[in-house]
Amino acid sequence: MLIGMEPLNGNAFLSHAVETIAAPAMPMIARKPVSKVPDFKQIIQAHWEALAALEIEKVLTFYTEAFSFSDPTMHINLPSKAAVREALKQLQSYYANVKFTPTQIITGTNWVVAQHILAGSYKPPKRPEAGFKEFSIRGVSVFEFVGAKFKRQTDYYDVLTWRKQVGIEERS
Amino acid sequence: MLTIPHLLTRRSFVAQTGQWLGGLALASSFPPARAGMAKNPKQLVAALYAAYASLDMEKLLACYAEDGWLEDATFHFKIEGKNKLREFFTSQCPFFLGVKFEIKTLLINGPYAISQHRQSGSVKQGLVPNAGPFQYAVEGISIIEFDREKVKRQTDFYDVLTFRKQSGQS
Repeated sequence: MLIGMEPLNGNAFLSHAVETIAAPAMPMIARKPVSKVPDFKQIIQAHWEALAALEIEKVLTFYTEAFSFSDPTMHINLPSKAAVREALKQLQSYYANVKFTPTQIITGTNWVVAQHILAGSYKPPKRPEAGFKEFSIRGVSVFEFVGAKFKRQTDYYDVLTWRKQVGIEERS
Repeated sequence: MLTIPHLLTRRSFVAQTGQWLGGLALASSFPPARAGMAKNPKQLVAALYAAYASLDMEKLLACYAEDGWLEDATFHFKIEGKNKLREFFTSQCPFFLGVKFEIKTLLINGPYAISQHRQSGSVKQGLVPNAGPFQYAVEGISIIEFDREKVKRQTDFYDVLTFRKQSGQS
């Protein structure tokens, strides 16, 4: 369940203030055009939908040119968009029916922390004969924005549950 | 419910000590709040982390609301309420010889504080005779919600695979 939290970030506050308080109260101050604040939640939802569908080029449109991704729990570090593209190409063979369900979203001026459930099916690359196995795990993503795009994304997942559900043996 | 340490198997000992990772932190990066002033979330995080670094159970408990809870989605536990937290800290504190946190990012908005950090420390191997403590260092995140200057909710995620390797479990 998405926990609704609508704190105004700095830009959003200014935007509201100019429209409601500041302008009528201080007419001598010239209005400055206020740039539209990106809807971070909407952007993240659209990104998740593209990622779930593994639409690689669409996913990449959400990233700045200097984008980097890391997941300390899954031990993944992708320092560039090119690296993300290659990783997603590989994932296309092993993931299916992926879905992101937000459970808590906290927003800041240029960041979002989104707890969620990641569910889907996964086929271990080293044991394709095992077929797809369903999984559903908790995770959290930290998105750092520049404008409406992600500059950096860091994920953390319940990797032990994921391994158990998809049948990956512990490495010794 | 936590298991009494002397009844733990080695495997469960490691799993139990891993649970302790759920809250430890270092306060050195933050300025102290001035006396008499309401603390902001950044200062509250500093106080919480200082309490963990001290390994002092009463200081730790003082950071949490009566109905506050601490959970770790990667080590699979959730401790609800101060009585349970006291049991938890009582069982875990004796195993830890030292803890250090290096904050990478601290995000604040309203009552929320999100800390991305690297936790390291030293843990006794209580069930292995003559064995020295093992060292660990793992990446993690804490998502903390404060209410009236106390921790109401704290959710942690850690690199459990690395911890298991460092503790000799895998």
